[in-house]
This record gives sequence, C-alpha cells and structure tokens, in this order.
Amino acid sequence: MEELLRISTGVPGLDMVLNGGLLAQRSYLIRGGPGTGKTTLGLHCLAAMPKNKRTLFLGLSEPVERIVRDAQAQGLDLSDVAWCDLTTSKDAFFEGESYDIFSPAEVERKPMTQQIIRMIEQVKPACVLIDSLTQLRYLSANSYDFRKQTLALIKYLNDQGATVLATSETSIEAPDDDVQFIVDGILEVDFQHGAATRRNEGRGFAGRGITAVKFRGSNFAPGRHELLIGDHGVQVFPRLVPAEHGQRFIAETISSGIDELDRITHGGLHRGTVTVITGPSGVGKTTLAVHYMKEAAKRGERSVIFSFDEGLATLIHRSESVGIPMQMMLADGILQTIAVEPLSMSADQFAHLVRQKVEHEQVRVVLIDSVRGYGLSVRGEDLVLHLHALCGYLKNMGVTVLLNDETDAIMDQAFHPTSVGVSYLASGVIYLRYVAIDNRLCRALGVLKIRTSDFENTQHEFQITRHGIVIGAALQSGTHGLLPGIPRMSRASEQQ
Amino acid sequence: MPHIALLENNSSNLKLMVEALIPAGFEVNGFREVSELLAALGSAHFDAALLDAAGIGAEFTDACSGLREHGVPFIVVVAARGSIDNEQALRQGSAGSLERPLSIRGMINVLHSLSDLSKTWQQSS
Repeated sequence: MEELLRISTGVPGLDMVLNGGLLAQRSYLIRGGPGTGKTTLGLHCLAAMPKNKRTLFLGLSEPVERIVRDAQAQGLDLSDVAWCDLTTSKDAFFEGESYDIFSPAEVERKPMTQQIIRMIEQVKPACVLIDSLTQLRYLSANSYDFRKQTLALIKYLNDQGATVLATSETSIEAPDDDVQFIVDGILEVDFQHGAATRRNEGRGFAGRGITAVKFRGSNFAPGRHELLIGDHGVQVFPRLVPAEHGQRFIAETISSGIDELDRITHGGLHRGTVTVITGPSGVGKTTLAVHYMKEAAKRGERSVIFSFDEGLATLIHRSESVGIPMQMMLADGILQTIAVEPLSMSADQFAHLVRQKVEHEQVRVVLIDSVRGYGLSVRGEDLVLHLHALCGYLKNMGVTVLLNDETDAIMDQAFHPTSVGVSYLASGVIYLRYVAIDNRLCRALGVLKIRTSDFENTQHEFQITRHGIVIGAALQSGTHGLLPGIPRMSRASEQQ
Repeated sequence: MPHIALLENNSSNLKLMVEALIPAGFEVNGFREVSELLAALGSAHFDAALLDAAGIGAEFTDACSGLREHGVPFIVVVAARGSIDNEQALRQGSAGSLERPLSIRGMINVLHSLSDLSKTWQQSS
C-alpha cells in the first residue's frame, strides 16, 4: 500500500500525537473556544511547510495585519505565506446604513468566492488556513447551504493539491457538528481552569490542552495533551504512553557504593527498576539516593536529580559535606540537578523534560525528589496514574529510578511505608526512619521489598558522616517494636 | 430594455438593487423619496416598479396611487413583521409582495414578468 505523504504541523509534540504529522491534501478542523490558540496553531502549520511550497491564509475573522504582527512576535517565519484579508473593512462602521434587502449570502458570498478562487489560482498553495469557518456560516442561507458550500470549498482546495486547515469557534449559539462530519481530521483545543486547592497551594491553575478526536487514514495518540503558548509559539507535550517506548539493556545490579547496603540488597538495585526511598523529613533520603549517582558517575553513567522541594545550593552543600563530590560531578556533566517548580510545570511537561534527558542525553539514573513535590505538578489529576506512566517509561528505557517519598510521621506507632500508595509502582522499597534506642535517637534503614532479588530483612542503624553514609550491623537482636520506632527488649532477652 | 423604477429609502439597499438589476438587462432609476418617484412618473415611462414599504410610512398610499394612475405595474417589498403587509399592498393595487430578505434571482424574475405584462397591456390598448 502506498504510504500517504505527511506534513509537519510545525509543533514537534503535535506531530508525535499525530503519528508523524498531518496527511497531505486532506482537510482538518481546529476547533475550540476563544483564546485557545486555534489560529496560532494553524499558523505553525503554514510556517512549517517546505520553503519551495507556498501557503495561503484566508482571514475572515481578525485583520490580517494584526495576525501577522502577533505571529512575528512569536518568531514564526511566515514570509512564504500569501495573505488574503476577507474581513469587513472598518469603513463599514462609518457607513450610515447597512443593507438588509438581501441576505449576506446573496451579497457577500459571490465576491468573496471570486476573491478566494483568484488567490488560489495565483498562489497555487500547498496548504491553506481558513480562519475561521464560522464566518462563512453567516454567509450561508441555512445549515444545508453552509454544509454544501463548505464541502465544495474543501473539495476545490484539495483538488488544487492543497492541505486545508480551518479554524472553527465552538459555541452553543453556532455549533459546528455539521463540519465535523465533512473534514478528515479534528483537533480540539481547550482552556481548562482548575480551582485553587490545598494541593496546589491555593493558586489554582489554568492550562490549554489539545485532543485529536478524528484523523482519517492514520493512527494518533488519544486523550488530552498539554498545549502551551509561550514567547516562541505553540508547544505540545504528548501524554506519556510507556508501551510505546523501550530499549534493550542488561538487567544487572548497580551498586550504592556502600558495601553494607549492597550486601543488604544482595548486590544493589537492579537496572531498569523503580525504588522508593521513604522516610520522614531530614532522615537522609536524598543523601542515600545521591550515593547511587556517585557510583553511576564512576561507571561513566549520567544521572539527573529533579528537585521539587529543595534548593539546589542546599543540595550541593549538603552532598559536599558528606563526601559526595557533587560540584565536580556537575562540572563534568555526569550529574545534572534540575530545580522543578511544580506549580508552573505540568506532569506532561515534566515527562517531556525527562524524555529529553533520557533519549537525548543518555541519562541512566533518575532521582525524583520528592513524590509529594511531583504531586503538585499533576494539578488535581491522579498522581499515581501519572507516576505510573513516567516510571513505566523509565523502566522500559532501562533507567534506574529513585523516588524519594516523605512520610509525615517522624516516630509513630503505626508504620506507613509510603505517603500516597506508590509502593506498588516500585520494585523496591528502602525505608529510613528514626528509632529511639537507650534514650538515643538513631537513624535506621531497612528494606521492605525488592521484587527482583532476595534481600536482608533486618533493620540497621545508619549514620551520615562527613565521609558519607555508614551502615552498621543489624539492630540488636532480642528487641521488638523496631518498626513502630520504640524498641523494647523481648521477654527472652530480659530473662538472660 | 425594461425600464424599472425602484423606491428604496436605504441607500445601501438601493445601490445593491441597482447593481443586481443592471447586469440582468434592466434600465433602472432609483428613488429615495416618494416625491422624487412621483415627479419622475410625469416625465418618463416605466415598465414596472419595485417599492420597499419599509421607511415610506404614510406616503406609501401616494406612491401606489401615482403608479396606478400612470399604469405602471408594481410589486411591494414587505417585512415579516412590518407595518405594511401583503394584503395592504394588494389593496393598493400591487401585483403582489415579496418578503425580505429578497432573493436576487427572484427579484429579477418578478420584474421581468411585470415588464412583460406591462408590454402586453400597452400592445392591447
């Protein structure tokens, strides 16, 4: 079967959603409410056409000069676009009387059609953007007439070899269901407002999204994908589907560089697995995770720390003070630390950033510090679902993932290994906690699970020294109540 | 070439009607006031007339009687909820009425029919 020619939308993320781009010489509807970015998205498509192809913009809604100015401000090169301004002249405002003897369809459609035909014949465009189709509706006698005219226009343009993009303003007053049947593809753009909640620290959120709802002749990534309009135009962040990604890797263990910990975990963590390091604030989760990165650096493997909570300067200072040469690792580029502001970066954007690090910079160990900070970026959506997708992707790519999970209780009778039920995502759970022994507050480390190998199931005291983490022997046998954090001598030990 | 009198007090409407009728083979004179139409009836021959009832008011009757006196068949444009309806137009001697918005093709066809009718009357008299 002959493969259909694809054209880029000019937005790499959207091309990924569309399985490589739009199919040439087909018709597409970009529909959405006001301010969702329909025109901007269409202009990206025009700008992305090869330089030897001409494109045409048919403006029916907004004055062309304003559109050009806005597009230039976003750095879009539209020098090969032919502009056809079909909007009402401002003179109409000054005309004393407007006509009402004939319908607009009778008066304005014919000259407009003639102007469009003239432009098409003159420009011979490879791609046409009609902005917007809604205006054409007002030039039709009725909905049947509109459908007939639209179908005829699209067919004419396709026959001339053009790919047709048309924007459509969705509203209750002027539904565009009829056009949706006509076109080959539909992209829906929206603007969602989220309420201020405790989870997003009372700031609320607002964000654009794009959904491909129809694409004849091609597969596409379903669901809503984040859409961002910034100083450099449109960006789309496709929702991560782990099954679509993967690469071969050796399922070997990777060392922490701490002999006792490697012994407890029977050789270390397995490559391409997720390990949750859980514990209360300040117990040493990040320090422990960074040890794995130090060892990765020795093997020449790149690591990245995504820090949602802690300032980078603090992280560097703290690591240096326990013998981890973070400054040097950063300078060598073997380690990257990225401070993520979760309230201004969505989960899809974050996943995109992670993908860049893995696929373009060959990062092999990733620390997400912390799960709670990451949770803010999902903006009220299901945290576990997003984390599941992200971790699934990283596992498929052979990346070793460390998730720092802060538990609330410093010392508690009830032992909660993780804060938000993420332990099922993990192949391994290492817990750190405080225990009181002989009126002394100690740090303890234990392993709750490692799916890929056996492990030692005793708790060990551990210390953070200026030479790094030191893990001692198993906590005194003959005690019980270690998990609640307040150990007591067992009866047998007392009798001895 | 049929000669048509148009009575239309909206200049934009009048311009569009003239632009539609001339390419269709009519000679057209447009009037924005009833007095202008009545004056022209004394000096020129018209085969048919089209009156837009909107905005004419009480002078509508004068315009109709003037056309009747000069034997010019005419048709009236009425609005769906206008003050002058089809029945009133017929009572004033109109050959019929057209409801706005008009179809350009429909308007041309009606005026051709009226002009033909007018010619037949002239030949028979």
